[in-house]
This record gives sequence, C-alpha cells and structure tokens, in this order.
Amino acid sequence: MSPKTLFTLLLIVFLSNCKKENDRPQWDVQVLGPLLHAQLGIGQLIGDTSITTTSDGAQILDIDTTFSDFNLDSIYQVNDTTIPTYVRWLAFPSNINPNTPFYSNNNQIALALGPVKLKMATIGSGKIRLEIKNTLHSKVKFVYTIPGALKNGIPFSVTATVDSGSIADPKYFTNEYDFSGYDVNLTGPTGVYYNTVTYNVEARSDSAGYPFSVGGLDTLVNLKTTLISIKPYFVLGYLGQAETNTNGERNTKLGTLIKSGTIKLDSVEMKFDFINYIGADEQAFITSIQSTNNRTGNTVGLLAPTVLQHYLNINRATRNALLTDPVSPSFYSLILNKNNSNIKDLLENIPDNIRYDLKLNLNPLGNISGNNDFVYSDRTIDIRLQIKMPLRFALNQLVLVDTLDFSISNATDFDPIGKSTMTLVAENGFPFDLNAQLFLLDSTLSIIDSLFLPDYIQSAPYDINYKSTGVTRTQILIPIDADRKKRLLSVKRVGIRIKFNTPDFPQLIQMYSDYKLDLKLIADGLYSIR
Amino acid sequence: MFHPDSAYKHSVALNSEYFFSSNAITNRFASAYLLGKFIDDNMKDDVCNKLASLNRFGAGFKTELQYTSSNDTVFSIPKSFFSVTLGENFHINSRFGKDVFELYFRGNKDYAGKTADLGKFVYNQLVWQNANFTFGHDFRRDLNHFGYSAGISLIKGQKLYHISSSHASLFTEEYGSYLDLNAEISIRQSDSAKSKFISWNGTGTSANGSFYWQDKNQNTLSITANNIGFIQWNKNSSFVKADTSFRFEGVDVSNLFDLSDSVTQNVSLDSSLVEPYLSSRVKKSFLSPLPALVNVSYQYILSPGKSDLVADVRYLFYAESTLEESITFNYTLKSTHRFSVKARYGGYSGFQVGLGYKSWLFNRIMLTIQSDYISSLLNTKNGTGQGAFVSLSTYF
Repeated sequence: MSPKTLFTLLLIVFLSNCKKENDRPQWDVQVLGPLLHAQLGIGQLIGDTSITTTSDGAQILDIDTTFSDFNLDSIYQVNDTTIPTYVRWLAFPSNINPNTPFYSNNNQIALALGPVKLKMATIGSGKIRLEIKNTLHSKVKFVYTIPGALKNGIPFSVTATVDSGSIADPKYFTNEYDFSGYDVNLTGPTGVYYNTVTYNVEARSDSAGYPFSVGGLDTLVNLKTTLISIKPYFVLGYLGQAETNTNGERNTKLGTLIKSGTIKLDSVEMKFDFINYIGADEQAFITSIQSTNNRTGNTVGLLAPTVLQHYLNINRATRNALLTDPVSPSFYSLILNKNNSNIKDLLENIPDNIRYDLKLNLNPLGNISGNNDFVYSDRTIDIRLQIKMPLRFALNQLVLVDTLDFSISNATDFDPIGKSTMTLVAENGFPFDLNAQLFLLDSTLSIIDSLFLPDYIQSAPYDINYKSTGVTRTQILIPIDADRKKRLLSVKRVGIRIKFNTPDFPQLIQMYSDYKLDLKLIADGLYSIR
Repeated sequence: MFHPDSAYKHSVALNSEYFFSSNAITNRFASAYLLGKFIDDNMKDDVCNKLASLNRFGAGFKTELQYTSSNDTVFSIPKSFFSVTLGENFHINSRFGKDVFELYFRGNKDYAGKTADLGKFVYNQLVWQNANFTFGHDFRRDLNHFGYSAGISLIKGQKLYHISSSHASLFTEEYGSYLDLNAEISIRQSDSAKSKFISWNGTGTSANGSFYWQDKNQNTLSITANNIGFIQWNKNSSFVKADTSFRFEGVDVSNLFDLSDSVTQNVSLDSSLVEPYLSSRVKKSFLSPLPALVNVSYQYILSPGKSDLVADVRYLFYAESTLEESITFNYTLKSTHRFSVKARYGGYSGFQVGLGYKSWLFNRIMLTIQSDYISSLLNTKNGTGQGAFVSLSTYF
C-alpha cells in the first residue's frame, strides 16, 4: 500500500467517525424541585381581601364602599329649547343707509323648569345654535349677545354676517357655539325674575353696501336660538319639592363563587352614611331591603323597626369660601346590627343580590332658604356603606368555585419533561378541612381533567377553643403522563373548587391572621436534555 | 536530522490538529457529547468512577496554512527565513468538581437533602482566527548552531464563553420543596447574536518566539512560546456577575386562588428561576487572554541520523492545565521514514503513550501523522484522551 493510499484511507475513516448525529448531545437527568407555590390567607380563600386584623390577630371583614344613585334630572332638567326672534317692518316704506342699525332689542325667555326657580346657573356643558335667514337686499351684520352670561367677566357675544338675499332667494347662516363655563344670570333684565335668560339682537346694514328700501311686512330679523344639551354644573335658587323613588340591586358576587353549603356568622354590623351635598333638605324613607339567594331561591327581608319605613331627615349642605371644595355636606348615619335588626340573617342567606327600595323627598318643608338652594351636578347624595363582620363563622360543605384564564408561556420549555410525578404539598394552618380541586377546562368549559385525586387537605390541629396549634402537611400525588402533560400545556382556562368544613358545625370558629394555607407543587421526574 | 534538503527555499504546509484530554471524562463520553449522541448511564458511570474532587478537561481543534521562505538573506540578515500563517483555532477547557458533573449529567434528585458543591468551577470556550508573521535566523558559533525566531499575530475573535465561580452550592430540600443556590458566578460572553466564522467580535494580538542551541554532537536545547496574547472583545459582549443566595420555591401563583380577581394567570418557569439570580447583565467590552503554550525541549542524539530521544516540559497558561512532561524516542529508516514513540504525563490527563510517523514523499512532500493518545484510543472504555496531528508540506 502506497503512502498516498494509506493517507486517503485514514482521512475517510477519520471523517466518517466525526459525523454528528445531532446538533447537541442528549442525556436524561432526574430532577426534583418546586414548580409552583402559593400562600393563601383567608382573604384569598373567601374571595375577598377587605380584611383587617385586631391587636390579638383576629380577623375582621371590613368593607367600605360608597355609591351614588341620585339622579339630578329628578330635580330639574333643561330641555333642548328653540327661541325664535322674528321681526317685521311695520312702518311706511323707507330707505336704510349703509352701516345703519335698523333693529336692536333686548329679548327674554323663561326656561320651563317647573317648580324650580333658579337665579343663577353655571353651565357645565352644552351649546347654543344660531340660525339666521335674510331676505333683505343687503348684506346684514348681526350681533347676538347674552349680557347676563359671563365667562371670565366677558359676556357671551357672537357676530354673524349674512349675505344679501330676497324672498325668492333667502340667504342663511347657521353655527353652534360652546356655552360651557358661562355663569348665567337667570333673574331677567330687572333682577326680579327666575329661570329667565335675557339676550339682545342687533341688525346692521352692510357698511360697504348701498342704501336699500324696506316696505310693509318685510322681514327684518328671522333668527332662531336653540339651547342644545345644556347641563348646568351649578345652580342657585329654589330647587322645588320633588319625591324620588330609588330602587335597585347590588350584586354581591357571592353567588358566582359559592355554589353550595351553608354558613353561620357570629355578628354583622352594617353602617349607612347618607352624605348630602345638595343645598336643600332631604327626607329619606327606606321602604325595604332584601337579600336574595338565586341558587336556593330564598329571600330574606330586613327587619329593622327603628330604621325601615321611618322618615329620616337629612339636613341641607352649606356653601363655604373654599374654591377647591365649596360644599360642606351634612351627614346622617344609621347602624344595623344584631341588636336592632336581622342583618346577620340577610348575609347568612349568602345573597347574590341585595335589593333596596328607597324614597327621597326634596325640600319637604318648602322654600325655607329664601331661594338659596344649590346643587353641584357632580356632588349630590352619596351613600357610604360600611360592613364590619368578625371572621368568626361556621361552614358546612361550603363550596367556592371559580374559573379563570390560564396559560403557560413558552410551552416548548416543557418539552423535555418526561414521565414524572408531581406532588402537591399542602401545609394547612386553618382549623378546618378543605377539599381543593383544580380542573382543566376545554373551550366549552367542560372538565377535561381533575388534577388532585384525592383532593382532601386535612385541618390543622386545634385546641379546645378551636384555635390552630400548628400546621398539618398533606401530600397529593399527581402522575403526569404524556396525555396529561399535553392537556396541561394546552389549557387556556382552569377551574378551582374549594370545599370548606369547619369542625363541629355550627360551632363558630375565629380566623386569625397567622392562619395560612401553603401549597407547593413539586416535580419529581425525568428531564431530557436536548 | 530528518529534514528536507536545504536546497528547497520555499514550503507550503497544511497542518491540522485536534485533541481531547481529561483526567475523568472518557473518550466514549466525550465523543458522544461532541458528536451530539445520546449519553447513557453506562457512559456516565465510567466517568464517575474516575472523578476526583477536582477534575479537568481540555479540547482543541486547530488548522493552519503556512508559507515559509528560506533565503540567503532576509532583511539583510543571512541564513534567515520568514513565514506567514493563517490559522483557525478552537479551544475548550474546564475545571470542575465531582458534584458539577453529577448535577449536570444526572440531575439533582440524588442530592435530595444534601448540598452539591459546585465551587471552583471554570468553563472556557474560545474560537479565533489568526494571521501570523514570523521571522527567524540561524547562525553558528564555532561548532555550535543557534537559531531564534520571533513572530506576531493579528487575531480575529469569533466567540468566547467563559464561566467562572469561586464558590457555589445547590441545596435540594429533602422533598424538593425548595432549592437554595448560593454562588458567586461570572459569565463573559461575546456577542451571542453573531458567532459564525465571519463574525468579528473581538480583536487581539499575540506573540510567538523560539530559541535553540545545537551543540557539536547535534544535541539540541530549544525553548518555544506561542500565543502570548489576548483578545479585546467588543462592546456588544455581555458580562454577568452574581454573588448572592437565592431560594427558589417555584413560581408564585397565589393570585390563582384569588377568587375575586379575574386577572389572567400566565406562568413562566424560566423567568421565575433565572431572572431573579442572573439579573445584573451588562454589555461591555473586556479582555481575555489566549491559552499560551511554553515548551522547553532537549533532544539527545543516540545515533546520528538514526535515533534520538527528546524530553519536553510544557505548560499551557490560562487554560486550567497542569505541567506536562514527555519523552519521545525517534527512529529514522532509510532517511525517508521516521517513527516515534512518546510517553507523556500531565496536561489535562494522566499517563499517555503516543505514536508518530513522518515520511518524505516524492522528494518534495513531507507527511506527518501523530497521536499522543494511542493508549487511550486503544482503551475504548476507560481512555480519557484522544487526538491527532496531521501535516502535509510541500517544498519547492
């Protein structure tokens, strides 16, 4: 064999042995480690985080919410109004020279506001539309002014020029002007009227035009003023007497969470604050309050003899000198608790909705302010609801259910995970048993897998006062084969179901801030390095 | 000496060399790793049986094309030569503890309730190309021959990936409920978006030099140094440094159970595991040294023109290597074939036996085939080194 042949053979052998099978080497490792963890307090478990803690660690559900259902339209409403100004030449025929004012007059219009007598209004929003029709044989310049409407001290005034026209060929002018921010005097030209707007129209012949003649019944001014969507931000005057019936429903969201079971509460205190920002007296009359459980169909009406169906007098607000907060509201409070009502029964009904029927009377004593009632449109009557409920309860087969969107980013990161076992380690610090289940849902929200079998998490040990003395560790094995892994990685929605059972129902159990449920999902399996 | 006739003034050589060497990583394992094969438990077991508390491996691949011109005078200096070389270089070296191998290739399950010591870890991967110019001069004093050479290289840095850790440990809780990582680690990486052959991610320079003294009996002492230099990597390179303790308890999904909240849950394992630890990543330019080789050699002539012994001591700086000693017996047959047997110890591995063959073909071509790892190549199960050097030179 020649050296050349030997070299060639060696090269072939060398190169063939160096051929790569894959871009990267591959091997398997056994991995043990945590994947997911969660630490849950009572807030997460009952679906509400409005929880405060007392000095001894006892927990209280503390809800504080303010809502306002008062509709200002129930007092007054400025409807869209069109005001015509139509003037004809009633004298003998005459010539009108250029640049000559041939019409100037103060006009006034009373707004239809019913029993409400307003002296002044600040416009929050709205427009004024002017439409002018000219049939005179001269260009005409109109000056339209509302002298009692001031913005930064300047009256509302617009100037419009309409081309020369004729009866057969009239000329038109139309435009809309923003009226927001104007303080409008509604007492008329002499200051003794109410709801009255004064405006002035001046018509002047074209300064660069020619003299033109007007004869009997010629139309000098044909102008329409339209108030469009006028919403006062502030009004002053007498707001009249009005009775407003307010009834509605508040969804508690409890019904969407709690699917079955019963609950016993220790106590509930519910405080209502009526906060009146209106410069007029109010009288409230609570007709009824009901809690409705749609699942059971059970309705519980509030029994509170000192509160329901009594007139509750709410004093008027007063104005102060503060520019930023010019209203000093009045307050009226009432409290419902187990001493004066069956409010506890209302909540133990696990209501989907709280229905209320409320009547409000404005100025029940009439015009006692000397036409000095007032109201700001953004501050009327608020109702502040405060619920304080010690988290001391008994639960019997109470089931919470929720679903939520869920996705795993970079699902291909999990491709190398082979057959493995997940372990759910639950360290329960609560003195009650749990059954927790995580469902994988398909697009129709049908369950395609239940991860925890069994799903039982044992209660923490507790003393004779049912107070936890430690934690109990529960392990639930979750085998992951290829099918389950595929379902986990592709799932877009999961369902959670947690069932609670406190010991010796209806024994009341106090919740403490150091009670936690620690959940940890641990992976133990094969991971293929690729 | 086995050398072409001095009448040839020019030569072109194509040299190629690769090696892998370790005190513990077997050839079978290394081959599987480098060739992208599946590494099974038997391969891992063979390595584990050899692991010491601290281990090493090194690997390299080098190809170069060299032109040499020997003239009566170069730069007006008689009996001189110069050479121009273009080279491609790939080098990996690592120093690692036993637990690093176990954790990396077997996983952490066997460490449940225990701490894996990952400290004193170094991994260094370097790819570069170089263009070298070397000038040399031979001269005689009485009956002694002397020679020296000096050269400089311009270097194009293609890729760097350097991890070092002075201390690191990973504790796996008995049931896997948490992992505690405690480590000081720094990672230097060249521009990861550009790592192909044409990528110019760094610029450097290196020097090389040699000196020899041949006495009247043709015994020769020589000293050579190569790759004394560095690469300055550009500003798109990244530097990550972390010195902290980190407990991983899984991705926090507490909000998943917040039944009043409708926020979509999105779980990302990578961001939860890696980002909290390796958070101080900065882009900046930095400098890295080249693996520099210094070799001291003495050739003792047993029979002039026939046989000799060569003793070498060499050290590869900046490459986690140990001092390497070797002795080589060379035998020349008919002036055109030369055989050599080499025994060596050190470097990245223990004792190795190698063979070499050099042939003068067609009166103008020199072929060299050599491997320092014949003993390991023959020991297919437990050999921990492999390598070959092939050179083809033509003279004219």
